[in-house]
Amino acid sequence: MEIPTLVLLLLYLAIVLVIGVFSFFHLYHAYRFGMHTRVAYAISAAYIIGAVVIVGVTLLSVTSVDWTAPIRIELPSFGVEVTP
Amino acid sequence: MNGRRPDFPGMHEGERIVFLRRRHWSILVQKLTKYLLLVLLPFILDAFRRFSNIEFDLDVGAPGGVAVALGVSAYYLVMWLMFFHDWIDYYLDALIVTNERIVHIEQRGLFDRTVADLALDRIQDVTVETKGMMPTFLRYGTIHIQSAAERERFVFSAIPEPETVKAQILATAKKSPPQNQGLGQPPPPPQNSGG
Repeated sequence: MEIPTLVLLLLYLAIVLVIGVFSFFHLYHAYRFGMHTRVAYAISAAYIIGAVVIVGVTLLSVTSVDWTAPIRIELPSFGVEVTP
Repeated sequence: MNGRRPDFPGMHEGERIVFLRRRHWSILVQKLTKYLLLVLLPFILDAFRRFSNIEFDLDVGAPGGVAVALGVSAYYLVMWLMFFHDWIDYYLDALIVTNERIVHIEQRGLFDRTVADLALDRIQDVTVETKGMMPTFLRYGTIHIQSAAERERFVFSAIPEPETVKAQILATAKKSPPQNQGLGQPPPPPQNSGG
């Protein structure tokens, strides 16, 4: 089975979106229920910066990829041979 | 504490925080240690791949390399979020003693939070428990605060210097203005109904 490599990027972006939504929940919760100290703000800022760095570095590293090239997925046969 | 003095949700006007305690730092270190191992997992798998002579084109230009790069990135994003989650879980657990009450905030996950408070003059007993080698050497333990109610209300585990915290609670309770007969307070004088 062959699929365009672009499918992997879309899958990755979907994962990033889900993590982004959960990250928003965490940051909102930390702001609403947390005690507003410098440590809390610093850790929250570090988290946002770290997440942006991870996603940014990843996207920069795959800019030269030909996304239209197919990726071949071979399902394992588990030793089963089908003879006509 | 440097910077702005912390407040907490539900703080009354005129209420003043006497002290605030979170769980012992070793609790956070235990949680972070597992992430250290999980961060190293992709490198361990790559080392295994090299030694086992598995042929796999990890060049980013190759489709397989793209899949690995995106997969590892998603893996580290999830680890980063889980680390932040555990930190919030640790940071939002607090024992707060104010000039009016004791507030026990316990966070269990993101959408499970318990806030209990106890007026200082309703404290009946404060007990400290230190069990095990690590708590003994690192000086942390459990504080049990018994109120006038039948059920024990406050149990705060892994609190650093529990004996000191106990003494501070008792000292603060003695300073609080009496409303009912409580710890260390004389009984209120009898009031004549007049007539």
